[in-house]
Amino acid sequence: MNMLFKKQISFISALLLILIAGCDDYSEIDIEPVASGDADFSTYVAVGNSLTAGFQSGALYESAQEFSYPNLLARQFQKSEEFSQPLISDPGIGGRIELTSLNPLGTTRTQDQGQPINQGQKPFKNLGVPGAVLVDYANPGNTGMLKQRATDSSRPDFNPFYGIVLEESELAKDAPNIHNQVAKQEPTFITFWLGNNDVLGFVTSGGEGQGITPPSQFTQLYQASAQLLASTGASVVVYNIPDVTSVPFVFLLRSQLEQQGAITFNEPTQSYQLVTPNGNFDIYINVDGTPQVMRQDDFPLLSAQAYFSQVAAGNTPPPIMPQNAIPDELVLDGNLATQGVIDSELEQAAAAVAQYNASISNIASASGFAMVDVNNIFNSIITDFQSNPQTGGYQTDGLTLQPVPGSLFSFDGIHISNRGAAVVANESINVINDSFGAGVEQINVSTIPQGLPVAN
Amino acid sequence: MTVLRIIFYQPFTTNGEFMRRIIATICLIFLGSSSAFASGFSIYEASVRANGMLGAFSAYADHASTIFYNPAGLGGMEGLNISAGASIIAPRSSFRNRTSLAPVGAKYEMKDQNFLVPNFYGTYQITDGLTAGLGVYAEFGLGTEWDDDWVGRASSTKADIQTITVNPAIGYEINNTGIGTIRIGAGLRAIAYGKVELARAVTDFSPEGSFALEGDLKEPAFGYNLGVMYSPMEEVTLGFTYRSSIEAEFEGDAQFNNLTVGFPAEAQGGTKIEFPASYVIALNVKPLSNLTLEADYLWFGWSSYDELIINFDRDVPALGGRTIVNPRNYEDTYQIRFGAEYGQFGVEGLTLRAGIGFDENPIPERDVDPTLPDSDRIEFSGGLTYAVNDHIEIDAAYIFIRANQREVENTQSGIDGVYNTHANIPSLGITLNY
Repeated sequence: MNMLFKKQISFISALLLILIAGCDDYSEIDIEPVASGDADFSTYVAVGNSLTAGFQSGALYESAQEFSYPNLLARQFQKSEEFSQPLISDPGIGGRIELTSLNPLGTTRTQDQGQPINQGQKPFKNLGVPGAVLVDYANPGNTGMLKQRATDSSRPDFNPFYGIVLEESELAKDAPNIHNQVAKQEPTFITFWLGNNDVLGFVTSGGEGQGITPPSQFTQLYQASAQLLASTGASVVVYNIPDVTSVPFVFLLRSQLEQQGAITFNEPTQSYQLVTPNGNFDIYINVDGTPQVMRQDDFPLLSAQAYFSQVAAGNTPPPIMPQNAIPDELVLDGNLATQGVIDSELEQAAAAVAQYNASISNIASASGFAMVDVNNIFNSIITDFQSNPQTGGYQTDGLTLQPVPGSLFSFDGIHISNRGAAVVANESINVINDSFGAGVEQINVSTIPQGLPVAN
Repeated sequence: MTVLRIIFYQPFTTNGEFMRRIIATICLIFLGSSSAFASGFSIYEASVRANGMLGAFSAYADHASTIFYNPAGLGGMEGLNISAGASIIAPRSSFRNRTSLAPVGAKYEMKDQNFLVPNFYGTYQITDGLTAGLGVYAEFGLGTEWDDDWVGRASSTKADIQTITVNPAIGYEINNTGIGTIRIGAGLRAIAYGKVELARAVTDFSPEGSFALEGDLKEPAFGYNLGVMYSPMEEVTLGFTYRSSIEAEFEGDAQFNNLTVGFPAEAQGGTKIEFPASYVIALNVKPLSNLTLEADYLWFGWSSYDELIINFDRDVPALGGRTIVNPRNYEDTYQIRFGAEYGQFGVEGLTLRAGIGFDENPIPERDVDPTLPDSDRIEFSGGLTYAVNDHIEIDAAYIFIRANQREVENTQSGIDGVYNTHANIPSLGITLNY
């Protein structure tokens, strides 16, 4: 009896083992390929500047690069595994702006630096270089001095990102350029978004102040770039240039102060005035050491918010006397010292952007490129937001994304956030689907994590 | 242009209006994403003997585990009966990504976990027709665990719930009704032990943080079960049993790991879970003297589980308060279970069982998330009892559960993709009759 019992048990055990081992998962499922229409996404290369690189909150770092709009596009193309980016470990290079406390809200710029992670994967598919200007794409005869800016660290306009993004062998050439890195990869699909820094004068790279690239030169450079892009045989999508003032770092504080009734624009004098119980008084700003009245093209920057709080609290004398002018570094002044009021730098910049965009549009259509009208998209968002600061912005997937830091924009108030990048990717997908008859799926923006940097 | 350059170097500093905007943004972190233990966390494998018939057991009154399946079955049960056993529940799930957060089609495996679920029953005949009993079993439980870096980590990295129910019950048999035999029974169900563990990543910050809650049952939680069986003739029995819902409260430590801004260093957290009511309508027939067939229809009132609220004992600034509300939106479900038992076929002391069932899942597509990737299931069982002698019986059973492949889109959690789940449940037990 005992023996029989043992036999039964071992029989049952053996049976159970067989069953457990045998009942496994279904086999792999098939993923439907993306409907690419007339386009071919098999080798996608992205060209651009910091916006393309995935730069956020003052730095280029891995957890933001993961949500660069080209990487998001590559995911929707089902090509993300092939889409290599020059990753830099958190908190990245540039000095990331991080939250230090929520209540009261505080931020700090970290001293910590990240390190490049995957330099062995060059050439990268994401060739976005923070600080890149249009001339870098073709750089004929090194007229753009790309070689010096990329390799000579003693120069004030040295930009370390070229060396991180581009191959050493390319930078060793007498006239290196970005196009060679594109052509080498035999792309079938290219997104191209350069030109922002031509009007911002290397703002985002921290380069020495250079003037606005003259529109005629811009057109020539864009034409040359377009020819090179076309020569690859790839389908090309280009992006135009948002207005200089369409970043919250520039426009947000003034519009907030106006909405709060703290300042007002006085039509007769064409000047901004501080609203006080004793009446309204012209506001003075310090422009290169000279106090001037604040006018239409002068923007107190987001960083001036604390200053205005101090004024409201009575701790800082109000900027209504020349000697109490708002400090230089807190205001983006529109006036060039040598030029008249109506010929301000911001007006020049706006005019340049308009001309750049006209060229981009013309060249794109002549070259058979699709174009994403980022200028129009950003302007609509900002107009909607300014007309309704509580609920205005960009509505998508149950979210209202506002053009402020922490929403559409990252903490630097200049570069788009993770979700901002998803919006750019979705707008790109709209254009791609329309232009190439493709069926690329949209990104559900609400699933994209915000990734707000915090100090630890 | 020198001024423009400052844009790059000057971090923004803000106050007032701006802070509110940021906080409002962060508040969405928990509101937007659902989580917690999911729902199909009923465990119906409460007895090895019943497992063999896939739990089609609520009109079957021949075993001490009738305390769980229908306490009316106690009525008329003779002598002293003791049963003890355990099931190993070994669920396996995989997820194939359809989100924009990782490559399309990327496959993630749920971590392998095997849960030992014990059961114990004892019955004693007090007087003719009146029998009392005690059952101890786990009627609700769940465990899912995923890698810390998996694509759905913001929804769940761990969800674990364990309960032990203690169920004293009594049954009475009324023989001389003139229309057949009627048995009635009732019991007190007390969740005497319980544990809840939840963890997930918080991806709205860089670096990412994580949130974990480990709660223990605050105090025993009570409910009841009732049953009736009616046998118009010896070969046919109709059964009905009802199990009430039980609301249990859990309390414990909440941990906010690597979340230095907007979260307290530590906090106590608590939650209430209403375990759903259920009822069973069952029919048992004996077409042959050695063959028993049973069909059970089960209903579960999962719609009571419409949201999960976690309360903290202090303010969590990033939440703008001290409460997280997770909509769950479960729906009532049914199950159909068929079982058969075949004995005295030539092998001395051996009885064989088999079952098949269909189990509808309670989770609407929009609310499916990785805490419990539930899906409609088909279940199969086989089992046997070997009577060693007149008093000792060895029970063994095996259940295999195949959940339908489930593809979800536009989910609240945002974790869209394809789930595949199956489970193996071997069990072994002993029954003593005196």
